[in-house]
Amino acid sequence: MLSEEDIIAGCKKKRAEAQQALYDRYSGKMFALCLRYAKHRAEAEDVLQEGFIKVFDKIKTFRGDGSFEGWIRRIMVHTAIKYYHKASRKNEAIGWESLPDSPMKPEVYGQLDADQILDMIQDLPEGYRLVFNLHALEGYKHKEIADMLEIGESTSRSQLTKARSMLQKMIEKMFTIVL
Amino acid sequence: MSINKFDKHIREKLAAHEVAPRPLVWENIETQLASSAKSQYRWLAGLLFVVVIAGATYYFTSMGSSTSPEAFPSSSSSDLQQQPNQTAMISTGEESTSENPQSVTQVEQLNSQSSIDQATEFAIAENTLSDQSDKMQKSQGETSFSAGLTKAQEAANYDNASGSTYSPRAESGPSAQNNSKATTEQADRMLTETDQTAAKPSFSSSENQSATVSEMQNTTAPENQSATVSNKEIADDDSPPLVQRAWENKQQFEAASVLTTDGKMHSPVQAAAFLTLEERQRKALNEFDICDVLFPSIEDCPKFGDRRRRYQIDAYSQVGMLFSHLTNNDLDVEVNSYLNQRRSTEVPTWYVGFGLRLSTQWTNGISLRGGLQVSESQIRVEYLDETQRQTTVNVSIDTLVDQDGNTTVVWDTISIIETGVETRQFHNTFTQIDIPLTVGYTFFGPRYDVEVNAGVMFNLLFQRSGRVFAPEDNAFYELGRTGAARGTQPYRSELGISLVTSVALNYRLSPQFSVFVEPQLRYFVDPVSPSSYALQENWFMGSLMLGGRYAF
Repeated sequence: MLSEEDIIAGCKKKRAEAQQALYDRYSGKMFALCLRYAKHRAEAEDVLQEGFIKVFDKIKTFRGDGSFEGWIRRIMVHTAIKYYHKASRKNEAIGWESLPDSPMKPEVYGQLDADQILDMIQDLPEGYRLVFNLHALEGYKHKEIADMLEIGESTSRSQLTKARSMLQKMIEKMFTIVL
Repeated sequence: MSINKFDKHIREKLAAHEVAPRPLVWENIETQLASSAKSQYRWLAGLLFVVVIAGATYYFTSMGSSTSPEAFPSSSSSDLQQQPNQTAMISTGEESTSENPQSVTQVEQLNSQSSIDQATEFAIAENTLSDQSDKMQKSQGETSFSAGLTKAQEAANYDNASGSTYSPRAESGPSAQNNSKATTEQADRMLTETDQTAAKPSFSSSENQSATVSEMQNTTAPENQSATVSNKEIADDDSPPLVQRAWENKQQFEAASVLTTDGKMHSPVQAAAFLTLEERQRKALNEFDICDVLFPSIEDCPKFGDRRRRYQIDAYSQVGMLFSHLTNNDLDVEVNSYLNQRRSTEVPTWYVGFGLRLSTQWTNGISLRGGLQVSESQIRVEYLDETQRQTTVNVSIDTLVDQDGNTTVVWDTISIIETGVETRQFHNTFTQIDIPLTVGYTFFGPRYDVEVNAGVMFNLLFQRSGRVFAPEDNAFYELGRTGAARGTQPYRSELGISLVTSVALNYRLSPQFSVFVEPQLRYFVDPVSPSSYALQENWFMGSLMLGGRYAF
């Protein structure tokens, strides 16, 4: 099995086996990431494909300063954002009314699995989903998100708040039905 | 549950989450990687094509020059070489004439029996004649000529004493027997006497010629293909040297023979044999023409060495605009703020240049142009310097006078430091030396020509001076000859290939001199920034060229 260094070196030389090894190693994680940003599975596959093409194209610029997975992850996120801009959906009306804060018990989250969370994130309106992913899961600041999505900083904040409320509502609803 | 805990819980749940994509995704990636690798070779193939075209052009151009005539600008040995089948006809006619007086019929008979092998013999005869004719030119004024020269002299066949007319068609007809026999010696004599006899042959249509000529035309040639020597012009003192006149007669004779040969005296099979001969000779003479290859549909492809092309030297200056497009290099989303900063502070301005261009232009309008161009472009950088400090020092001097009248001077200094924002501006300058190589087509007009050109420019040198924001710390760093003094290089050391296209309006002041105005667009194929740089910068230039042209 190739080490990460071997994979990087091989990909820089455009060796097919190294490229496939890189894809095999990271495609699962990156596809899960893409699914969070995309509206549906087909769109996530497009983002994943475009993202890996960029990874192979730009890998010669990776100097090994930071985490290789983090580098790939940033490229995927950026590709997803670019895809969002390209699809011209940024003006899509978000129009989600403010939800009342409904505190939930911590044990409720323990019963959720990743697929359920992913489904709920995918059900979020696009603007909410992007801001929630970027801030809550990737750790970007509101100013950075505002630059990326070409929206105001305050819009980013309000969308994050609404995304959280909506997710909580979804979780609550799901457990109400189950119970 | 707090917001942080909610986010953390979701993050933890999704941290190790993996979803396997369909195998189709990897197949698509593989296909895309393969096609991108091919596209790289496509550029290489394009570059190779341009180099091959340029090399072939240079090769054939230089070869064409080597066959250019020296002695006679209007008709020369090189012209003779360009018409191999015509000369072959002369040889055939002459041979048949010397062997059998019934030459017209026998020429036909000979030709009817001719084959590709015979045609090859004609070619050999033609080459011999050509060589001998060259010797004739060199030995003008001398008293001895080679035996082969007699054939050229026969073309100058005329009867000075009797004033009878001469027709090349009669060369192989009954009356030509007398002409060829009787006048060959005379022509020899006349040629060696050079200026002693100032006879000038002239050519006119057969309608004005003698019965002998008309008779010949009836049997062998179209009406307008005969050539005659008129007595009226024999005594022209300003006529060119006799050898030249003889040569001109010979050319006329060849022209008539060609027309006769072409579908008149030969069957299609024989004509094909002659075509084959011509092709063979062209190959033998390396007169392979690139125009035939590039534009096979053009019937009037000029042949190298046939003086149907000319050279042009252009000197021009150009002014225009540089357009720059900055994008995130897709490496990192944090680059966006740096991108916005660069976009908001940099404004590409003017673009000036001058150059020299050498062109080869053929009469069918096709041209190849190459040269050297020096240009300079500027990008204005304007930014708000928020670190400005303005210090105002107020000095007050008070003179105090006490009751005793003693004065005391009191100094007081007050410094007021104000911080503010100042708009600063400077220019980044980029100097380039490029080699343009274009293919063009000219639409000829009475005095105005319109030319359409397209091709590539190869960058030889790219120098820059000025300052640029560095992405690392958003501070300014000097651009040296090789880029930023510190940090990642914002510009490549060379710009590679750019695509150019232009449309020129050329106004001819005289046959040699003209002036032109030529709008040009130039697009740089690769970004001017290195691939490892945070931003990708693409350049595009639009300019107006003004220049003068000398054609020769």
